[in-house]
Amino acid sequence: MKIKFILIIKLLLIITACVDEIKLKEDYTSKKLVVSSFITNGENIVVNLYQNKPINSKYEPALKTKAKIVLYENGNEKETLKPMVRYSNSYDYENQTQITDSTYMYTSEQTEIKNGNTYKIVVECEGYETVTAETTVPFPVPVNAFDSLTVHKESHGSKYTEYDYKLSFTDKAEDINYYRLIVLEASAKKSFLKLGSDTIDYIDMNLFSSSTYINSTDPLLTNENKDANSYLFGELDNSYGIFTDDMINGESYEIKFTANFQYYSSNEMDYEAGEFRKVNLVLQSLNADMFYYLRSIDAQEYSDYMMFTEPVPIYSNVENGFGVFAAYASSEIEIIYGEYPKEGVKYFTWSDIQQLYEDYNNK
Amino acid sequence: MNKPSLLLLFILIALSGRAQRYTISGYISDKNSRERLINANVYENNTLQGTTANNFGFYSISLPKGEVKITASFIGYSPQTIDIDLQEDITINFEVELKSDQIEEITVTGNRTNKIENTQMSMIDVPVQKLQNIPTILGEADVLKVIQLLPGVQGGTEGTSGIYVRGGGPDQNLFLLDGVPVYNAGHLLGIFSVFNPDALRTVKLYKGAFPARFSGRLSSVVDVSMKDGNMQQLKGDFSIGLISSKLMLEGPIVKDKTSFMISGRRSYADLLAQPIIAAQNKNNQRSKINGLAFFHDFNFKLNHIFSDKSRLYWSLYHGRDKGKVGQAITVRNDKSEVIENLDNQFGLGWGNTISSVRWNYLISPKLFSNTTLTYSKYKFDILSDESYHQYYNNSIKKEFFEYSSGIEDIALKIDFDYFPTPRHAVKFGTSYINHKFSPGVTTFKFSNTADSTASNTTFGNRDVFANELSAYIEDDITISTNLKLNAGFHLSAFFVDGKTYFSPQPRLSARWLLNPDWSVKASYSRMAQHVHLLTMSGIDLPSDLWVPVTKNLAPPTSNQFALGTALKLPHKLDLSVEGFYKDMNNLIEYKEGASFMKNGTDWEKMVELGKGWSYGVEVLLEKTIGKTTGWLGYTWSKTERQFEKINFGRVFPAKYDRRHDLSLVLTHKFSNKFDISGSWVYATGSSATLAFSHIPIGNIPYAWNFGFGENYAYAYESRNNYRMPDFHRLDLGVNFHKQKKRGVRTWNISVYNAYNRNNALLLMWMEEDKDGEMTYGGGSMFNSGTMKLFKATFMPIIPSVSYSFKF
Repeated sequence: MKIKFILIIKLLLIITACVDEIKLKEDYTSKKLVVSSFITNGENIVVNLYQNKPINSKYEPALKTKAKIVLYENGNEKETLKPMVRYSNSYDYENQTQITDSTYMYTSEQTEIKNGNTYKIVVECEGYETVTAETTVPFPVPVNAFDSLTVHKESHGSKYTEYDYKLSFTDKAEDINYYRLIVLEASAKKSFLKLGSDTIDYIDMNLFSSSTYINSTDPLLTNENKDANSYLFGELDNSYGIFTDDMINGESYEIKFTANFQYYSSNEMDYEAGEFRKVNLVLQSLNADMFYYLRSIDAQEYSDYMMFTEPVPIYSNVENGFGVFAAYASSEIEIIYGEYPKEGVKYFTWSDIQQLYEDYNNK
Repeated sequence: MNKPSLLLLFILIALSGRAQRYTISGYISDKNSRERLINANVYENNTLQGTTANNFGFYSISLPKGEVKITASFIGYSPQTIDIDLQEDITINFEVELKSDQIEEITVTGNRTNKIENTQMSMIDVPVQKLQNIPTILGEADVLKVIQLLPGVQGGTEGTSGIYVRGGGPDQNLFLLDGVPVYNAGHLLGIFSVFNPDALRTVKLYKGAFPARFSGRLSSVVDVSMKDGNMQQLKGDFSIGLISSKLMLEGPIVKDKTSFMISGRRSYADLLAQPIIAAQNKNNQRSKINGLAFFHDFNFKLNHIFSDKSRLYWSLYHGRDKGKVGQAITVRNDKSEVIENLDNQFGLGWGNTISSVRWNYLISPKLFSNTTLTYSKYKFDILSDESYHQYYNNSIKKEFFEYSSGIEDIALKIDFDYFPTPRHAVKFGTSYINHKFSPGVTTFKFSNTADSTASNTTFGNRDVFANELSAYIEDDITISTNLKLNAGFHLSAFFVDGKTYFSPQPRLSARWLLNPDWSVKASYSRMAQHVHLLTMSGIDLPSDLWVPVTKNLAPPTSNQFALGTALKLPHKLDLSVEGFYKDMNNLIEYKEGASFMKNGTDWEKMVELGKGWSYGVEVLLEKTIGKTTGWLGYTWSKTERQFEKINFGRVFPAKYDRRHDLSLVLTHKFSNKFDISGSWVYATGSSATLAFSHIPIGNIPYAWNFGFGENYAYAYESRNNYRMPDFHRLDLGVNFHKQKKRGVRTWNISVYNAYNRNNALLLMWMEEDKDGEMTYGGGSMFNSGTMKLFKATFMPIIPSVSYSFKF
C-alpha cells in the first residue's frame, strides 16, 4: 500500500510539480530537554537526560551540559540528584566517524523509592527551558500461582524447546490498572580457566538476564489490531507485553504465554555438567505514565509503517519538554532449569576469577 | 332575554364568525415551464396576512369571507394579483413570470422568504441560477464549491467538495437529492460534486436551527431538489469544457400533464493526461507509468399530473468514478536482456445509485400530503494487482487484493402540510428506513511458482442491518406582529444488533421583529445521528467507511445554540450576523495506530468515542438585486476534540479548525451579452500533525534493547500541533452570451487561482544533501543532509474555457 501511495503522489507531482519550501518558525526548531527515567520501589532514582534533535538540523552529540535536578517526594523537597559521568558512543554519518561523548546521568543518594509515593523532578539546564515531571509509584500485584511446562518441538529439521507458562494474579477492583509481563532468562554456561598447566572447569556465574520474546494468544496480551491478515499489513506490536484490566477488572486471572530461549542463548543445556537456566517471570504493575509511554512507542512505529494512519505522538508527562518520568512495581517468580547448586561443580563470578589469577600470580 | 337565550346567541355569533373564513389554496408555478416554485409567497394585500408555499409549490391560506386581493410573489418573478369575492373554499393556481432584467428591487410585502421576517435562521438559499457565473476550478459550475464560499462552511482539501460546517466533520452533513440521502457527494476524489447544476432547481443549506422534519446528521442539511421538467416546451442545455461535457434536456411528454428531465456528464481528464504520461515514459526505458481517472453521472426525472389533487414524481440518479494507476518496471542485464519484470496496478472505483418515487395528494384545501419511497446505494471498491516475473528461474509471483464496502437504504415516508389558520403552518410526518451496511470485505490471493505456494482468502466485517423509525411535528406560529416561533419535535428510534436507541430531538426558533428591516433571532436544535463515517483524518477519500451505531457505540448527538440578527441596509444590502455554540458527543475516531485497511477485525474495536465542541461568529453581507450582486462572508470559529485514548486524553484542534475564514464573491452584469465574476477566499491554515524533532526512547527497563544505546522516535508534540500555511486564492471568470436563432450560446473563460498562489495540499519533508540535491522522504534520525519542510500544491493557476448552448 505504501508503494501504491507513493505511485499516486508521483503521478500527481508529475502533473503538477509544484513544491515550495516552508520556512519554519523558531518555535518549531527549538531545543528541549528529554527526560528518561523509570523508577521502582526499593531502588534509587536514575534520570537520563537528553536533548531533542530538531529535524532540520544536523545530527549532534548527546546533551553535555550539566543540569540541576531537584527531587521531591510527596511535595517535599528531598535532594538534588547527583550527576554521574556516562560515556556514550554515537556515529557521525556525515563525517563517518565514531564519536565518544561524556554525558551525565543523575542518581539519588538518599532517597529510596517507596510504593504509593508521588515523586516530582524539576530539571534546570542552561540554554533550555526548565522542565518538570511528576509520577506516582504503584503497588505491586502479587502472583498467586504459576505453572510451567517444557515442550520439545521440531521444525524444519531443527529441534527446539518451548516453555509454556501460566501465571495467575488478582486484579485490584478500584481504579484502572496497567500491567506488563516480562520473561527474563539467563544461562549459566560451563567454561574453563587455565592457570599454568592446570585447567579448571567451572560454571560462569556472570549471569546477564535479558528479556525474551513472549508468544501468546491470550486475549489480554493480544493486541486489538492483531488478526489473521497481519502478514498483509504488518501488525501493531505489543513488544513490551503490556495490558490493562479492561477485561478482568477486580477478578482473578490466569494468563498464558510461551517463551522460546533459542534466540538469545543456546537452547541446549548441559545440565549434567552443572549448567542451568534461570528464568524470571515478572509481572509489573505500571502507572499510567509508563503504560501510555510504552504503548505509544509501538503505535508510532506502526503508524509510520502503515499509510493512511494518523501519526501517533510519544506519550510525555514532562512539562516543557519530552520524554517520560514513570514508575512501576514488580512481582517475580524465579524458576531454575537444571540443578543449582550441584555438588562437585564450581561456580565462579568475575571477581572469583580475578581472585584466582591474583592468587596464582602471587605464588 | 333570559340567560340560556343569551348564551345561545353568543354561540351563534361565535360560530357565524368562524364560518366566515374560507380557504384559498393551490399551486404557484413558473408561467413558462410550469415548474412549481418552492417557498413562493401568497398574501392578502389589505391585511398582509400571508403564507409560504411548501416544497411542492402548494399554498393554503384562510381569509375572512368577502372581497379579498391576493398576491403571489417570488424573488426574481413579477408578482401576480387577483381580486376575489371569497364566498367558499376555492382553488387558485398562480403562474408567475420570470423577470430576467431585475434591476430594481421588487418589494415583496409579507414575504416569508424574506430573511428579516422568517423565523428560520442559519439557512442559506444557494443561488442555483448564478452557479454558472461563479468561477470554480476548470470552469465547472459546482454547488458544493459555492457552498464552501459561505460563512460557517470550511472546505476540505483544496479543490475538493468536502464541507465542514460549524466545526462538524464530513459525515455530519445530510445531502438530500429529492429527499433521498446521498452518502458520497464527490466525483474525482471530491474535485466535483455529484450534483449536476443543470439538473437542479433549488439548493438550501441549513447550518443550524434545523426544522423538525430534518434529522440524521449533526451539522448540516444540504437539501437539493431537481428540476421537474418543463411542461410546456422542450428545453436543453449542453456544454463542453476542458474536463467534462454535459447535456440536459427537459420537456413535456404530454403537455401540461407529463414532463421529463434528463441530464448526463462525463469527464475526460484521463484522456487529457495521457500525453503527459506518455512524455514521462518516453524518457524512461526502465519504468513505465500508466493512469486514468474519470467519472460519469446521470439524472432523470419524470413528473406526471393525475389531477389537481394528485401528482407523481420519479427521480433517478446514477454516478460512477473510476481511477487506476500502474507501473511496469523492466530490469535488463548488461546485454540488454530482460531479467525481471514487475507490473503493479492499482485501481479504485465508487458510485451512488439513488431513486425516489413521490406522490403528492391534496387531502383537503388545508391538508397536503406527500408519500415517498426511496432507494439509495453507495459502493466503493479498491483493487491491487501485482506480478513479479524473474526470468532466471522462470518464477512468477502474483498478489491480488480487493477491498469493497458500501451502504444501501430503502425508505418509506409520509409528510403532511397543514394550514389550520393564518397564524399556524404545521408540518408533521413519519418515516421508516431499512439500512444495510457493508463495512468492508477483503479478498486476497497469492501465488508463487518458485515454491508452489498459493492462497485465497476472503475476510472482513459482516453486513449489518438496521431499521430506523421516526416521526416529527413542527409549527410555524405567528404569536404577534413582532414575535414568531417555530417549535418542533423529532423522535427517532434506531434498531440495530438487538439494541434500540431512542433519540428525542427538540427544536425551537424564535424571531423578534424590531422593525420591518431588522429582526433578532435565536434558536436551539438537538440533533442525533445513527451512522458514522470512519475517515482517515488527513484525507477525504471515497474509501471512508459508513458504519452504523451499534450496541457498543451510541448515536452521536449535538446541541446547538444560535443567536443572530438580520437587517436590511441601504443600497440593497442585506446583513446577517450570527453567533453559535455547538457541542457534540459520541463522536468516533480511529484509534491511534488503526487504519481503515485493517478491516479483518471488527471495526468497532478500531475506534474510540469522544466529544467535540465548536463556537464562532459568522457575518454575511450580501446583495442579491441589481447589476452587481454577490456577498462578503466572514467567520471566526474554534473547533476542538477530546478523546480519552487519543492524544492521551488531551484536547486537540479538529483537523479543519480554521480560525479565520473570509470569502468575497462578486458578479457584475454589463449587459445581456457580457458579465464578469470573481471570488477571493482567505483562510488561516488548518491543522496537521507534524514532528519537528527526534527524541531518544532508550533505557526502558527489561526492554530487548536495554543497554544497547538509544532508539529514536519522532517527537509529535500532540495531534494536529501544526498550522498549515494560510490559504488564499482568487478566481476570475467572464461570460460572453449571444442570442442565436434557437437559443443562447455562452463562452465562459475563467482562471482558477489567478495569481498562482501555492496553497498547500500536502506537507512533506525532503532532504537536501551537500550538493543541493533534494530527495523526497527521509526524516530519519541519521540523515546526513538537511531536512526541509515543503508544501506540495495540486492546484496552480488553471485557465479554462467552456462553451455552452441553452435552447
